[in-house]
Amino acid sequence: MADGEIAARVRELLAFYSGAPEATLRPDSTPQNTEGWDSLANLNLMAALESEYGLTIATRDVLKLRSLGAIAEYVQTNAVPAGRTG
Amino acid sequence: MTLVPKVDAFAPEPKQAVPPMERLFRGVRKGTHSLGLAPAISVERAVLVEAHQPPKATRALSDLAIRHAEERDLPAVAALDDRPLSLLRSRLAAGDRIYLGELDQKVVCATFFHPGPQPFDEERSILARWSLEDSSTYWSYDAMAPLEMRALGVVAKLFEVALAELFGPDQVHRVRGFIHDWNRPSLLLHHRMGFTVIGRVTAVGFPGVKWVRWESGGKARQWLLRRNSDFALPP
Repeated sequence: MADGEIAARVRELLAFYSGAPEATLRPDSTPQNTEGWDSLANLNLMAALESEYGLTIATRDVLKLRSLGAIAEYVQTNAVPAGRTG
Repeated sequence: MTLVPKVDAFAPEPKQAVPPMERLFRGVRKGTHSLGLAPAISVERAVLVEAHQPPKATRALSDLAIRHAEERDLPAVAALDDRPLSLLRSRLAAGDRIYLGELDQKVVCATFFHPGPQPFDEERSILARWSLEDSSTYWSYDAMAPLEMRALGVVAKLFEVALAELFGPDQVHRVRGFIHDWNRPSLLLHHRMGFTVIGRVTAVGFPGVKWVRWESGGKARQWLLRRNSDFALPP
């Protein structure tokens, strides 16, 4: 999956779980500046990314993922190639 | 994955003009705290919620080690938000269940459950005691975590695992809790965990006496009571 597609999918998932309009979400969006990006939205987002991209995201890593852009970059770097997800 | 619109019926009403009486209520409540009058004079409003089944389990934050707290864990739990250690000891001694989450063997979050039938008593003087029918009904209260950890979802994960155990192996039938009406993040979290609102309580306390109003199912009842009366909600 191309980097742009991953970023778009992460944005789509965040919009779903936070309830924030997708068009308002940008790489520098954070829980602090995004209505609805609360702790449960964050938990659900991480769970969805783990499931879709075959990741296991450690809590220590989640601590560093402070923006939408950082999350997309993390997924791009760590996603398991298609066909190898379990 | 199919994305469907998020249900948000539980959320407080959208931003709109606040009615004068509501503005007065909020102003008086703020005043009692800022002037140091609380708890002698208290103005509080809370929402009573309950759940009958656990939320859907998620895989995320799987490295957060969740377990029951024991006596030896209490200093670390108390340190999460400078809670008195004696309070936590008395809760554990009373049979309350404390769940904690550890990361790299460091306690980062905790939450509490009080089993029935003994009412939950800690808001007795401010609001009321909270009745619980039997030992299969639990009272959920307090969630503690440093702010930066809370934002990650550790409390949500802790809650999810605790409720799965209570409703699963422990065969609990009902978990209730109350949330201050100003605590919108907690209201939303409970809604998304599957809790529904069963009533609202407003309580105004003065030295020695309190007025309590209970609203549920479109009906309202009210009482004038001693501050530490045995009165329990729901009625």
